Parts: sequence; C-alpha cells; structure tokens
Amino acid sequence: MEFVLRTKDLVKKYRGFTALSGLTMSIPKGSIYGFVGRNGAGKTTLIRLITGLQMPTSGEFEIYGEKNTDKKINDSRKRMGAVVETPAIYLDLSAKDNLRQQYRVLGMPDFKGIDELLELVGLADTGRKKAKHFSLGMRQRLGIAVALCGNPDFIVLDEPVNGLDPQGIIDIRELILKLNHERNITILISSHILEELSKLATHYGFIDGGKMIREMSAEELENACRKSVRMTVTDTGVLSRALDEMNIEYKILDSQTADVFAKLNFTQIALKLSEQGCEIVTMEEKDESLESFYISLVGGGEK
Amino acid sequence: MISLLSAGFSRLFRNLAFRIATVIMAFMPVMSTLLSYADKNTPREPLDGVYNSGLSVIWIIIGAFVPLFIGQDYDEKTMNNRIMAGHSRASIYLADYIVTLTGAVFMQAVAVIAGSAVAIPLFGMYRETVLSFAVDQFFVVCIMAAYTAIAQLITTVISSKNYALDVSMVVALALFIAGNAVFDNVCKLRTKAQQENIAVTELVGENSAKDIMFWSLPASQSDMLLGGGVPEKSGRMICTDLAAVVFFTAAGMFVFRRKDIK
Repeated sequence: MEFVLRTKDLVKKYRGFTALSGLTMSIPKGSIYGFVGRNGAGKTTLIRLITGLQMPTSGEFEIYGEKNTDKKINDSRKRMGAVVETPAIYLDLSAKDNLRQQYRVLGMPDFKGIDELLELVGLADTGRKKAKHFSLGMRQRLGIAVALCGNPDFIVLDEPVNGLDPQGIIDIRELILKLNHERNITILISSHILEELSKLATHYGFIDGGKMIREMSAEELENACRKSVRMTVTDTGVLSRALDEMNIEYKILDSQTADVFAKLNFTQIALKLSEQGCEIVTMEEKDESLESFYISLVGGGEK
Repeated sequence: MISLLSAGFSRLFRNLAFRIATVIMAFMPVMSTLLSYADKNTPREPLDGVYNSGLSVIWIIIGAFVPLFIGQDYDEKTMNNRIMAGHSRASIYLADYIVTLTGAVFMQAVAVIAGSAVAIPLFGMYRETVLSFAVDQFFVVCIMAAYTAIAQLITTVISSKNYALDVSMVVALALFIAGNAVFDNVCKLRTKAQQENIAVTELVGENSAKDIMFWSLPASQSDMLLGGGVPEKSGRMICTDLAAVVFFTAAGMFVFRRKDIK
C-alpha cells in the first residue's frame, strides 16, 4: 500500500505540556482519513507539524516519502493544501482575489482554473463581495478553495464542519466526497464529530492523549460496530451447524461463544439446538455505535 | 522569493493602511508648503527640503503601517498559506521586509512628488543640486529601513495585528522622544559652544553616549535632515542605520524560523 503521510514517534512538547507523545500513523493514498479524538487530544498539533507551521520536538514524519528533516519536504508540501482550524483567507479581498493571491504565492504562471475552483466550492456567484461579508460556511469553502490552489493531491482539513449549520455541513461533506472521488485527492479530516466522519471516512485513526490508540479501515470499524447477538452455548460446533442450516452469518469467538449477525427467531434456534443436546446459556444483544466504540477505545470520562 | 514578492506587492497596493499612510505622507509637505505660503513673513524663496516634511511623522507611519500590514497575515492566518506552500521562513521574512520597506519608499516618493507639485509653482525650483537631493533621499531610505526592521521584529514576536500595533507605537514613540531630546540637547550645547568659542566635543564629548545617540537614533537623524543639508557625520549615520537593519532583521528571522505558528 502506498502512503501519503507516515509519522513515527512524533513528540511535540510545549512549555510544561506534551501535546503529542510518540504518535505513529500512516495515511494510505486515495483515502479519506478520519482523524478522531476529543478536544485537546493532539489532532491540530499533528496537523500543524505536518504542514510546517510548527516543528516536532522529536520523532519524524514523511510526506510522499520525503522526511521532515530533508529540505525536499518543502517540495512535498507543495503537493498538499490545508485548512488548519479557521480558513486562512484575506477578509478584505473577494473570493476570486483570495485565490489569485494564493496563485501568486504558489508562483503559478497564470490564473487558469480559478473560475473552476470557485465553481467547485460553490462560490462562483460571489462577485466582488469581500470575504468579511461571507457566512461561516462560505468562508470555510473559500478556505478549502485556497487549499486546492495548485492542484494538490493531499489536503488536510482540521475540523471542517465546526460551527456550520446543517446545510453547510452537507455542502462540505459533498465537496469532500467529490474531491476524493473525482480528483482522487487524499484527504485527512480531523474531527470530534464521529457521526459526520462515518459518512465520509475510508480509514480512521483514533487519537487520545497525544497517542494513536488505533488505526483501522472503515470496513474494520463497521464490523466492530455491527449489530449482533452474542450467544453463549454449551457447544459452538452444534450452534454453527444449526446456523449454517438457517443460512445465518456468524462468527465463532471460542468453544462456547459466538456472535450472530442477523435477526434471530429465538424459539426456532432454541429448538434446533436442544434437538442436538446443546443448551443456550446466555443471549445478549450487541449494538455498538461508533461513539460507544470510540469510548471503549479511549475510555470514558473527562481527562 | 519572486512569487512571495509578487504576492506581497499585489497586496500592498490594495492595503488600506498603506493607502492611508501614503496620503498622510503626501499631505505633510503639501500642508507645510501651504502654511509657509499663508505666512506672509516667510521669504518667497525656494523651499529646499520641504518634501522631507513626512520625516517628522515617519515614526508613526512606519510604526503603524508595518504591524497592520504584516500583522494581518497572522490575524487572518494567511501566513500559514505561505509556509504551507513550501516557502522557507527566511524567504518569507525577507520578502515581507522588502515589500514593507518598498511601501515606505513609495510613500516618500509620493510625498516628494506631491510636495514639489505645490512648492515649485508657489516658491520656485529648489536650489539644491540633483546629487544633494539624491544623497538626502538615501538618508531618508536608511532611516525608514531601520524603523521598518524594528517594526517587523515587533510584529513577528507578537504575531497579532492589534497588539503589535500598540507595542510598535510605544517603541516608536520612545525612539522619537529619545531622539528629539538628544537632538535638542546637543543643538543647545553646539550653540553654547559656538557662543563661548570652544570645541563642541568639550561639551558633548567625543563618542560619549549622548554623541552616539545624537548620530544614531533615527528620530535625531530625521531632525538633522529636516534641519537641511547633509549631516557632517553621514558615514556614521548610514553605518548605524544599516547595522540596525542587519541586527533587527537577523533577530526577527531567528525568532520567525523557530516560531510555532498557530
């Protein structure tokens, strides 16, 4: 698998406070990587490090294979765009002028593609209106447009839906999906709104206390959060034969426990098992939401 | 670097603080000329050096303009865009210095043009030579370069438009007061030395703190230029200005390169 970003044992200390304590993560190319963690977990710190706004205290990372200690990292950074916390835009300039300004910063030879970018983020009709008169959602979209200048193939969005109204959230979500599907842009999104991330992400990284707790694909997460019935029986061999006959999906956990992924007719299964001398000891419905999964990972309560 | 300069200059000419500062700088020699014209006691002879009138307020102008211009990049986080675009911090800092200093030079150019456009028709063509004018303007640029380097360092350390503006104005005011106080004091001592027919160094001291400040502080240098003519220790003045530029710019770059940007 090809990775856009890899970090190894990244540490960032501020005066008397450790924001990242040995964070290791990998972002696969073409993915939408949901970076999940509570406020203060270290999400924004990691983003500041990889975008070059801050230097790590120790550890290393590489973007497109270029290490942070290598001078070529600046070339790799030209392939990425980012919106860190709030959109970085000139409030006294219009949307178009903001993009022109970023084109100049990037040293682009002309202003080709600006209209297309404005169209993409839905700001084509803002004319000469200055960014200070934009709504929060419009500013956020302009910030994303600025990050997209220079056709990056990796963009980093730090809490992109924070403070947006429902329509604004939908707009940003659709834009992110469009960028990933149509332009094949790898996207790192940090958020503490799990529900929103679950509609986008193909991969997840769960961070807490400045450390990566777990990285997993959306598929793995879906399996972990799947609705199931956990059955404890005297013999899972008998149970598996009965479930096969009933064409029901299941997973044997040990000689006495299995997870069954379907709505069960309890009487039918109980009769089938009893015919073959197998007893049901307990049955417990499992319905782990993304949130409860996250809580089980990081542990509940305030830190 | 070229792309940073291009972006910086494009923004400079749209910047409100820069436009207001330019108008004030242009207004100073025009007002000075018109006041002289209105004063019937002023002899009707060419107003040499009137175009330098803006020097009396240059400390406020640069002290406000630089934090407002560069501070905007911190407040609106657009500094991030330049760093994330892969530019080195040293080139970003230098580009900002070049852009703001060019802005200050542009203001002075506008002041010269505006002042001359009023002064020459009313009082006649200046008597000073082109060379003398060029040397004069070189000194003005040196003074502005020193003020700009100081204001940029303050903005970089504070990283906030409004707070940087406050601190920059306080520092500029302190430099202005100190420079003027030293200038007035030394001028009085010079007059006294002339009256008593003794060497100035006997009263001021050679390379004393007062003497060094007299030739080094930008406000004192401005007063000399406003007094007319090229100062006698011009080489020393240029050296101290350039040393200030190098020192404050190096310090600013050092801070900026190690700075955690939020």
